[in-house]
Amino acid sequence: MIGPNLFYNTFSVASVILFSVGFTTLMLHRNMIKKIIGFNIMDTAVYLFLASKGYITGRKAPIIVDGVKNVDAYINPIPAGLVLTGIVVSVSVTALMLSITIRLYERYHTLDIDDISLKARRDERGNNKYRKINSNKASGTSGFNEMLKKGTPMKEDKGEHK
Amino acid sequence: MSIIENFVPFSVIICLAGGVICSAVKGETARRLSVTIISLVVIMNAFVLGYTLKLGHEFVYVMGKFPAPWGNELRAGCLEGLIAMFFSIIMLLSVIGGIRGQNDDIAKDRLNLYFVMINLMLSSLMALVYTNDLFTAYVFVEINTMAACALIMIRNNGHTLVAATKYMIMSTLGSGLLLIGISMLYSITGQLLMPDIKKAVEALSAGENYAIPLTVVIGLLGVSLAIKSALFPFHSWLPEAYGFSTASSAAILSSLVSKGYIFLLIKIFYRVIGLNVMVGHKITNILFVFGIIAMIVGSVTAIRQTDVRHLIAYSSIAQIGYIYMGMGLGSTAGMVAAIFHIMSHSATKSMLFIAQRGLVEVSNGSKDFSDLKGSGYRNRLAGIAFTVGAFSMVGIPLLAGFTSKVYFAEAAITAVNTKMWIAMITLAISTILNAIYFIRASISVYTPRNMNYRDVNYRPSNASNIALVCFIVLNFFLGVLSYPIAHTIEIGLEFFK
Repeated sequence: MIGPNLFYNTFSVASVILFSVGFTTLMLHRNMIKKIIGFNIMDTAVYLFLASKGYITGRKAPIIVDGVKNVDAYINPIPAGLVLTGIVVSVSVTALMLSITIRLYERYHTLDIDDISLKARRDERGNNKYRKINSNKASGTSGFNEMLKKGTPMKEDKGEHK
Repeated sequence: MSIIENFVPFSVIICLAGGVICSAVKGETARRLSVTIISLVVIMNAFVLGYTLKLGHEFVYVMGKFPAPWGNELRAGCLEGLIAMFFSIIMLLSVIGGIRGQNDDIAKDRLNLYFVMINLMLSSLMALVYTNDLFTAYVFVEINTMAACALIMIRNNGHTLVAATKYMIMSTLGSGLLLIGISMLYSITGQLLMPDIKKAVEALSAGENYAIPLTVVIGLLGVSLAIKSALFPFHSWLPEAYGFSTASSAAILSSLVSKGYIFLLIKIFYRVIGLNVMVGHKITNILFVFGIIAMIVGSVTAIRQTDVRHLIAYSSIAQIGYIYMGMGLGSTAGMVAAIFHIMSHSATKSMLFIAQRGLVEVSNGSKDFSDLKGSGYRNRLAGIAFTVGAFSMVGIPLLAGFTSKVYFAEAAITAVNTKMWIAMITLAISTILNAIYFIRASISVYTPRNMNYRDVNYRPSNASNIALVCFIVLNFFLGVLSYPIAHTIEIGLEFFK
């Protein structure tokens, strides 16, 4: 149900405003941590929307206590279930994004996404130059793996190419 | 109830279970287990396809035997069976074809985690194809996103990290919009199962209630899935993600991940909102315009690339434009062409990525075209496969890409006058642009130079050879025997209504 005017739709309006705040932060902010906060605001806004849709004034949670079995006495429990599912999803996405951020910080020592992509591009250019010099020296006898190792000055984590 | 109906939920669950087991075993065992599981899924989906074709109508699998408004449902018609079988075949060939790439690019102690993600990806794809419940679709969209992010990131260097970050940001934007779209749809219809929503939406669009919310919902659903499948203005993450991840990942990402979302959007078109309501709200026109722009922009950018991976990646953007252009025509013929192109593009793009890896192996590990010169002689099968893939993307007859272009053209002729002209002219321009960069790429692969890279001891791995041969056969199969497939798609779309 969506009410006829703004007065009836306070929660929907609030949630849409929160959603746009979160969405813009996630899209436009350069700091990774703030992006993740924006993502969480965005998802929480949707939960507010769902929860406000599920609640009906004067009704109770759908657990039969006093033997009242009339449908009109209870609210719809499905939106609450959807909110729970959504929270699980957004927690796991947040965890994944935070772990990526930690890795990015360890490698590039900044949280600014523009800086990071600039540094990554510079890495690539250096890499190509190195590879060109290397390929001129290549005699053409050694195997592919060794060549790949030689041609990759970029640091890879331990345990690679073993 | 036939036992084959159980295959539908089983193909989702077996992958999830396989993922759990893979996390506990060693890399090589995990690979064998995953290949077995994917082959099993292929066989099960083939049975489902045959069963639905024989049955002549769809069937619904009720999870846990809770009836319609409360329980969760899976639905299988012959289109779902076909697409699910095709996706699992591509997954199988991509995994087999990239074995050497996986060994080179992924740390040995983390190889099993790669197959956890492969299993998770397949299970979410199967669920996306078969689900009959919109919220379940959302949950599996998120699982798919996370698995795809891990598939990019598993090759541990700076580029893949940046690519995964960009992918994650774009995807979370898309899934946020999808979530609020589904919530709004739920709040105006009160249903989550697709057929029930459709009934409610038909009632709404007949009356005057909730006209604006319905338009907003349609816009949100369309835009969110377009963002997730990398339609033109939202493609910035794509070249890096395809360019630096390991070959199997790139093949899976380009041919399955984005296509899974597009298939979900087609399902929403037909089974949730209804094609007439969709066309009535003009969302198809928007998709059409962006599809047209993507066709041109993707190809023009691809011409400037000197890196083979980036060339294939930008060509993917153009091909996704084709698919959205077909959907944007708003007719059943356009939809058939779009679905056929989903299949032919998956078959071709994954082959190009696997073949590209074979060519790079014999070129000092460089992806640059100046180093790739003559690599077609050094690794013959990969060269042939790359050429077949390139010709198929250009649209040379007998190959998959040609047939889907014919279907697009046929669909465009029956469309509205302006759309017909725009679609036909763009198809022609885009084909020429495709020809420019793909023919140039195959010529440079066969230009005999840089013979100093010749390695006498080099042997391509048997697994990738088998995968490439299967891919070539699949391409010719889609190109030559397209009629039964297109017919199955038509029947499947008929079931959708």
